[in-house]
Amino acid sequence: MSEPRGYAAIVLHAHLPYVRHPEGDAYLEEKWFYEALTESYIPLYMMLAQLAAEEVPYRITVSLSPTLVSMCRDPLLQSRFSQFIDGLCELAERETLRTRWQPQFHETARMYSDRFKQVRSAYHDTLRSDVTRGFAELANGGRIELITTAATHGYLPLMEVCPSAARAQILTAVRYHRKVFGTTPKGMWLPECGYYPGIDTYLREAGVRYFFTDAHGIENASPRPRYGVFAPIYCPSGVAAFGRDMESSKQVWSAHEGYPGDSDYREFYRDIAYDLDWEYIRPLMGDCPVRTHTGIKYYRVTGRTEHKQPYVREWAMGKAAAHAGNFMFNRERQIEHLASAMDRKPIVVAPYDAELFGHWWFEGPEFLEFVIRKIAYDQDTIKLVTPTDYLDEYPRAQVAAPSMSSWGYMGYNEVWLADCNHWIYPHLHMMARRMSELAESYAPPQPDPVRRALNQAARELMLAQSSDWAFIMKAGTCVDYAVARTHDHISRFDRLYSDIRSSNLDHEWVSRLECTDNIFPDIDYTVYSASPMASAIREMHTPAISSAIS
Amino acid sequence: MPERYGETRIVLQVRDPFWMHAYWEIAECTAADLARELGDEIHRSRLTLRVSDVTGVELGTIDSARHASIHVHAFADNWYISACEPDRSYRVDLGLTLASGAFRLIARSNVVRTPRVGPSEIRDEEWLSIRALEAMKPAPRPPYASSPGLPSGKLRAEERLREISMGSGGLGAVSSPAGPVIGVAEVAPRQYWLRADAELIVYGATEPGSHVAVSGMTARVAADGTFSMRMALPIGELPIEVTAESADQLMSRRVSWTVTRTGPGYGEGGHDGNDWNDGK
Repeated sequence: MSEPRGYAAIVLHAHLPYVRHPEGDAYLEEKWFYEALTESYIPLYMMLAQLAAEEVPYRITVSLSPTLVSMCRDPLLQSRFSQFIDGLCELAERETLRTRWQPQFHETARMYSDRFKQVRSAYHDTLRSDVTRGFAELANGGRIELITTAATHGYLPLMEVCPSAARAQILTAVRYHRKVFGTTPKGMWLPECGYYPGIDTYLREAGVRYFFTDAHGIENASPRPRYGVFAPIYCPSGVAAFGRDMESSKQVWSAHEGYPGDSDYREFYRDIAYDLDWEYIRPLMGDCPVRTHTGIKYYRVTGRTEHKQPYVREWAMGKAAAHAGNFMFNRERQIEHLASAMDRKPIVVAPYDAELFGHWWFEGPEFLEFVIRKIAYDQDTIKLVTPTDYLDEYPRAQVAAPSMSSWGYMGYNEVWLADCNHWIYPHLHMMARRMSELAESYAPPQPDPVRRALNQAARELMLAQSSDWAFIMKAGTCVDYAVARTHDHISRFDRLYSDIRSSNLDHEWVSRLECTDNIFPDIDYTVYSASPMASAIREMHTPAISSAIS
Repeated sequence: MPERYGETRIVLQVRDPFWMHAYWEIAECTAADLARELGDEIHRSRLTLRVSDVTGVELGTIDSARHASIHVHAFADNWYISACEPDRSYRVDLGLTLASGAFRLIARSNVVRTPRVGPSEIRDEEWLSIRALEAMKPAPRPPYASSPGLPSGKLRAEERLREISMGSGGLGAVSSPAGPVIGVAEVAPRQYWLRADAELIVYGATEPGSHVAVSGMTARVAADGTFSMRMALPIGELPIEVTAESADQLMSRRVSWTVTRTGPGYGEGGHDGNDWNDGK
């Protein structure tokens, strides 16, 4: 292969909030995790592992959020997933029987049955119940670059007033990544691409080399980056920032203009859960009293009509291949054009939520597979790289300060700071401040019960900070759950704080919390104390009551 | 879940280049201090957010910040502030605008910086051209069709009024060398008008648990022993008698005086004194 003219960096960000309810198995929110494993994470792993086994050259960046990694490694959720996938295989098997005399559905039913069985055997045999193991192996083999994101996916721009909390999100994530994967992550996915000037100093402190922003984070950087989003810039802290390319994003993301809306692809919303009788699908629903997606869907998008047509797998695969070809063609043209105007090879950064592939866009993993194969064998213009590869080739980059930005609606903070969710911030900020105060008042060593309570307080704060809760409140589905979770973590923190302060700890209660909110077993509450900014926060929050009347 | 944290503070956050959000809490002790300090003046004061453009100020120049005042509902505890421009630094003071127009500071916020506004509308068409990218100018303010989130429809309407009263530029007007005086007075109907009245606040403190009566009416005694009662103040002589009796009914104290109000009483129209609405 001749020297490429430029690069493309595909970034898959895999994240789910920490949802784990040992107190009962009727939490339909836990199904988010089981569905994502079945439809996205395991199929993506299988696809990438297959390509690696065939020695197809590729490099892809995968961000695994610490909350997701924790769930993948949790024995309770592992055993519940094992039951879930058994139930799904059984239902799919019954479907192949039920549809025997319906040729328009039967092939698809068999596809699901085969697919779920493959997922199940990969889960048990190859992954040994932990999908992160598979991604770690791919990383060790040099195929993917594993990076992390903030510890509980806290939305960092709305922590600007409590920098010790933003710093703790970053340092805790990096420590956890190091513990699980044995290496310091070279990059970090900022939750929702939420950046504010200064957050990069904590990335620097954590040993992280790069992060991503939305396009305008780079385009509006100062001084103006010469090459826009097509070359990384260095923040004044020395951490590199890569900007999202909007064109490659839109082609894949957009439900209307993008590929996933094609009429031959599988329709997401038409699920047998809503077409078949309750008793039939009930075994898969567990104790959930309501119908939720099974993942078995027989129709294709068809068009903007309620009269959906049956899904035809070959057509869908044909479209996935054609779209992969189109995606590659557009990147080639893009790179050719850019390369002619730049003194270095351009890089096009294309980040996506991993759950888009497989869960929302059923054919997404196959599309990605085609993209990787075509880029490897069908052209010489572009090459897939990771940000680290690029920085190794071009260690010199323009210095500029990115602008505050996110990839949310309108590009800033309004999704996470709106009338439906702004009530959380007085709590989150006060908790962050109190956590720093505790960390400084209770310097180690502390007696075991106190230390455990302090660590639990840090867990409750971090769990309350997940950007998902504010997002769900704004999006309007499952709002009750997001509100309840937020309330729970706020009140648990509040009680821990006052019990620690008054030396009145209920050890049994703390132990129960440790079992319920058991994320980050090695969390270290002192991460909230060492910040040079801690004193600044205290000052900021000191009530400025002066008797002066101006 | 705690509803309040008992700490007086105001915190400012950026929502986007044109909007900020402030939330605050006024602790009970602060409110009591203010009531004591300002006496009955507190009832003629208005809770006010003073938004200051402090761009450059933090770099060490003298405090010459200009500001816009937003009168907020007495029970509001947060506000979306549209009075801002991209790439500027702001601070918000929470305080009371007194009848005299003076501003009594309650709490001062952190300083935030709004982000620069970029060429988002044209980047999709122009991204291929590096030169075009270089030449892009900041786009005009995008139309924010959706209204910002606000605690209630009532407040939303009120803030709309403020927006109108502040003109097109929000704090832009304030940033100009001689910004107009900004306040509610500007949205008043065309006829000039004034309504004014005075009331009386009796307050004090005694042993917690006591029974307190003001001119025969039972006053609620707070856990810390303080009490206050607000009453109409008619023209003429008003004898006030405050009595306190200990919880065990063995001790009692009495304070009394006479308040005299002269003049026309509740008034409409007429004189051209200061309008307390116009804070600064």
